[in-house]
Amino acid sequence: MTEADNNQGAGRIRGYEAFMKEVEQPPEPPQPPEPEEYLVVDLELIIPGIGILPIRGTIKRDNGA
Amino acid sequence: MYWSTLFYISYFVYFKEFNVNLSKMKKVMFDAKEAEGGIKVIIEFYSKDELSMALCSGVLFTEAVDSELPMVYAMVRSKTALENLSKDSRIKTIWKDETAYAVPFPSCYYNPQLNDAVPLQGIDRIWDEGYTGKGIVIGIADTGISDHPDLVGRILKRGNTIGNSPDDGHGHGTGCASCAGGNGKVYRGVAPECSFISVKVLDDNGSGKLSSVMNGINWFMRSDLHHVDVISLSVGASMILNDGSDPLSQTCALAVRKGYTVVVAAGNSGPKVGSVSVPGCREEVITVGASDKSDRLAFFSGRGPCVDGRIKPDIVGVGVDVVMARAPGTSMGKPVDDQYTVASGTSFSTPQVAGLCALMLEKKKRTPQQIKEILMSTAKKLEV
Repeated sequence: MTEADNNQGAGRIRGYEAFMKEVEQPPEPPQPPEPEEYLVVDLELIIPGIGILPIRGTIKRDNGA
Repeated sequence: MYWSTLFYISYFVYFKEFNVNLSKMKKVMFDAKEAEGGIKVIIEFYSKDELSMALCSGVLFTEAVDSELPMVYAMVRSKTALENLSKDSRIKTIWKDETAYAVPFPSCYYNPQLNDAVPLQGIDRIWDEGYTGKGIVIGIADTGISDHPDLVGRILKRGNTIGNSPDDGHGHGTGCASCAGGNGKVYRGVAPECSFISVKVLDDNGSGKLSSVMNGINWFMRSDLHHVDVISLSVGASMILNDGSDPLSQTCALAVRKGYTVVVAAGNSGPKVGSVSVPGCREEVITVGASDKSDRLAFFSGRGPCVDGRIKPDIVGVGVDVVMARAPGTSMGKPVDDQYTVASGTSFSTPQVAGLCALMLEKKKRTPQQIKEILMSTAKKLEV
């Protein structure tokens, strides 16, 4: 910080230069990822007398659901 | 450690310079002795939820501030009542409703080369591009705007938060409006086809209160009533702290957050260090100092830094020997003839910058932050 800064800030306005200056647009924010087409599903198959059998599978996403 | 030490040293220095006499009461931002006999204050609560109209005994009346800020205006009867109020745990700060002034300075050189401020600042080249402020509304919060040939037909609305009439019996507001957008053949403002909404927040002596100015800014923000693009405020108050925490500065910051470009005068208390007035000290606003037509800084232009060390003003514009519209029957400045007067001050560089903001907005929609950044990054550094 200098004395000049505290007296005049950035300085005297230059109208035409300010008018013509284009500001850089901020970059587009990243789009959220598309939802996966397949969902991973964990199921548990209960077999009486044997026990629980874990099963992992995929099912196709139904966008209309 | 080093930096914090430096901060406290500078804090002390500026306090000394301002001759501060802060109250010993916690939260009270003025000398409590002033409360004897009654005083109007602005009470800031921690949140809007805690805002209470029933404060305590000794508070004569309260009125909520018409904004999103958690504040009320109140009349406190005595020092004892103030002391009781200061113990209320819901209350953050108690401010005196200080006097606010129009900030003209007598013409110091009287070198009325009149209409050369506009070309010096490159404004005529913008007109050549076809931009004159058409469709952009500048809000002038000042002593009102009177009918003048250079403004006729472009004052969309006139309100007042002080006195009984929105008319300008002082001349300051009319002069400021013409600097922003007068369309005289010789003495032309920066945005000669802009429109205006005026609110009279200062009386015919050029003075008002923080509350009257706050009410004016809040009225501009009533988007259900009207539309304002740029707010020009050539008004200042000397507060104990020019750190931007006062109610008027907070109101201006709220306006910026809502998308209004707020341009504020730095005040005419220079060349003393730390002399930028309230609300020019607020970070979010565009604070304007004054230079002359030879690109020398005006001696009266308010200087930074603010009490918390921030640099202000942000920019300067021509504010010495500016010719402007003269409100009928007024004698502010040094009258040139029946229609015009010449005066100096950051009051008059400020509306020129507001006019430039209008031209920039006419070309392309921009945020207040973008406008400020552009103005500062394209400015010309002057010799000190």
